[in-house]
Amino acid sequence: MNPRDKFVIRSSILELAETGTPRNISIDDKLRNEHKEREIEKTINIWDSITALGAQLSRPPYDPYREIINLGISIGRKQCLNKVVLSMPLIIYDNAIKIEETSLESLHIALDRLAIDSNTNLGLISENEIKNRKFSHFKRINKKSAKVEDYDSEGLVLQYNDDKSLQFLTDIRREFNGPILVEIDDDFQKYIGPLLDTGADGVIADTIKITNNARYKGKHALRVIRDVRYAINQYYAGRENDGIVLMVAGDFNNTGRIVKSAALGADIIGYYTSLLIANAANHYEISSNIHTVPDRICRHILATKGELKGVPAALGYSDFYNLSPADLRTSSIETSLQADIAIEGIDKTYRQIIEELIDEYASEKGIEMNKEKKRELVVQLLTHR
Amino acid sequence: MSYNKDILAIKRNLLKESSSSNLIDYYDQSKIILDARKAFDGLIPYSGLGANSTNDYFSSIDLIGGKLKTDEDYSDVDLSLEIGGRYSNNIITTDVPFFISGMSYGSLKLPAKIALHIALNKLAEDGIKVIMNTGEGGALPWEIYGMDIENSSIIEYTNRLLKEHNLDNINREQLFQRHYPLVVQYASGRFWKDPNYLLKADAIEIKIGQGAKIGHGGLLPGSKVTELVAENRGIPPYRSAHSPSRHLDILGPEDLVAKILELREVTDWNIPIIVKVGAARAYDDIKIILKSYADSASIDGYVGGTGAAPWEIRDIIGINTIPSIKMGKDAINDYYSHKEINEFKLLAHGGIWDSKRIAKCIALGANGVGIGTGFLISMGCTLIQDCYTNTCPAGLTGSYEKLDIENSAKRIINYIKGTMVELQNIVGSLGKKRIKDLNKDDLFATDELSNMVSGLSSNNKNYFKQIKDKIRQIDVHGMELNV
Repeated sequence: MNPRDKFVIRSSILELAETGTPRNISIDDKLRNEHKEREIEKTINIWDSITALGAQLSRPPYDPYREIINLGISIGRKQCLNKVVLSMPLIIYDNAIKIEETSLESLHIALDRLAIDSNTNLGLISENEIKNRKFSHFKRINKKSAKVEDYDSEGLVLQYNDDKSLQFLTDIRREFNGPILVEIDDDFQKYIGPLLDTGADGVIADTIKITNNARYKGKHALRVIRDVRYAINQYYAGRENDGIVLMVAGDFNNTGRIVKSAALGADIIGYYTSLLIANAANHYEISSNIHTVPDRICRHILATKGELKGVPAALGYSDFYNLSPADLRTSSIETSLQADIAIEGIDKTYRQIIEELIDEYASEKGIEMNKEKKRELVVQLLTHR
Repeated sequence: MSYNKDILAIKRNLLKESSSSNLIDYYDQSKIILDARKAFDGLIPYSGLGANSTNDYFSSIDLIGGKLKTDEDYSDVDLSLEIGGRYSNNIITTDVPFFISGMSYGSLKLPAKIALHIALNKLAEDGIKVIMNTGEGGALPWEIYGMDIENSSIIEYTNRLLKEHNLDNINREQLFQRHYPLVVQYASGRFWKDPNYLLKADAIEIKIGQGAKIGHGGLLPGSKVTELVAENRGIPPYRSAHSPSRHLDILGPEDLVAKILELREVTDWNIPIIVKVGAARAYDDIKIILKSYADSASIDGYVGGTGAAPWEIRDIIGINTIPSIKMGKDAINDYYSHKEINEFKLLAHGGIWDSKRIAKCIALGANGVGIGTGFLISMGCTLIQDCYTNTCPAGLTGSYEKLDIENSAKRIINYIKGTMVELQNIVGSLGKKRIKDLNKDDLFATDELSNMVSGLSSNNKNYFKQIKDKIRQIDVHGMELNV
């Protein structure tokens, strides 16, 4: 509810409370008029139109204050000898951000403190050398600059560019025993199978980069997550997933988005707002320095950790990684179409509703429709909504 | 828990700024507050009142006709609501289909609780009975005892309560009366220590969850657990009261049956029992309640308010009130195989603030609705959503701002009477004699989604029908479907 709507609601109730006599116009009519007057179109924020189904009688909730809720995740498939275990599903992802040196130092101090004082091991993806660290460093490398020292880090990250990337992955796989994560682009469907065959322990989907490319232009980050997860599941069809992780990065800057992404299939979230958060805290302090910023980052991460435990517990899970798309509902058709999320109150996706109506129509008319025709009709109906 | 004043100042300044900027900015700014708070104290940020729904469907569903104000006299329109009688010997009958949702002492300050108590007593004297729900924090002495009370410790506690709030001069005879029906909450925290809490109630509500923090359990921040609040709840003072996320003895449907039967025995099968859930898997949850010897189910939608909830839990979890009513009603219809049996009552909460919204909920299938925030606004709530702190600017949920009890009671009475007349006008102008006669045929949806989630299938604007028409057009003019 925005402040203007609050004002409308409050003034309408106060009118009743002050006079005790019927009003001329209801709250809903007033809101509608107000929106019309200000020409506000009903624009839906896709992230905010998604909610999760809390546990009540049909599934009891867990209690995060009294029971253990697992947030830990191990990165590394069968072939990976030195797996990395993170205490929560976050890796600080500095890609595409220019970070000034003191902020970077503050971040390193914060991650060390979290590991030592709070038993909270987070990962950091960065191409810099980081010495004497207590946290897990995933070093970003490329074929040209790769050198033996890189293998001192706990994990490696490389970018998929072309078929040569697969050869590069094969080469480093032989020499490096930690997890290797590969950043993919919008063409991932073509090469995800060979990539996983070659020994990648995980894929990184930067949703901002991907949605800026032609194939995903105009699509939402959630669509990217859904599609990459689908591609991974297809790869494992009929077999047990041996530990592949999907890391997503982009605009995932709060617990709500982390949880929604995880439910759609992300295992780890690339979180790069900690530094911004440290700055956000400057709202109440003028100066910022290396002594205060690490503390702020630590406190922020610990509060987020508490939230991340609270949500799966409230949904009836003792493990964060049990979240699935079935736990989500949406109050928007657009969101349902983008991410295949069921609409609240109906418990079906919009696509499913359309498919059922087509089936109903076909059965009423005695039409026998093949799958191809039905798919074509669904596409036509969804395109010309 | 208390928050640095600077953080509250940031929040209020952002609210002020955002009232003159565009709406999207507001939301982003609110996330900045969250981040700043986390960085400041390392704790999970709380918020008060309900979630910010992107689409609560209320504005896109309307009544076909129904006027708030008319020249006709519709004062004979029956707005009554009955709860109980399915398994209980007693039935509560009220004169309006709305009631005061659970807002406990502790969450609300004592003067606000007294204002509600006085207002409902005065209305009862005028022949208008309205239900009050205690919330999960236990009842106040005058809610369960009369002037003939002999228990000295309760008298002494009452004296301390009133003295603490400078209400020594209040008329005790007027205070120690209750003429309205009282529903007491039986929640997972079991914050009551006097068996009379259950025995003297008019109905018991087993609270499984609430819309603002589904699956999380109740929460009262430490700064609000004063010594007197702590004493009333039987908990240590100045420490946050986290009630368990579930009843430790209700893990599933069988346990719910056992608990209800236990309460039935304790109360000689006299008192109606309501089971309240937060709106999530509403169909399944209501089906379980239907099979559990309860008289009524209460469902609290996504926008449902609270005194304190973890901000993200409040905003991430739950479904809106309108679809939850539809799902609840579907469960009831399926259970009774669509027979016209009205023994089981469905009560709805969450974002229901005025007569038109009440009428819409009832037309969709609710029998009654709970209102919380509407009553707070009547008493002066500014919707700043700082209810979890001790800094409520209206003096309703904390702080030493003085609340004018007499004026607040007058406003509550006006709000109830005004809403009542509006409801009678709406029902009467629709050509009906009883609010119970409202049904889905009295409603229409102005968009496709609202039509679907509310299950409005019988009117001209039925979007399912429109989609089928499109299929027909494609069939006739476009591709040949029959293969």
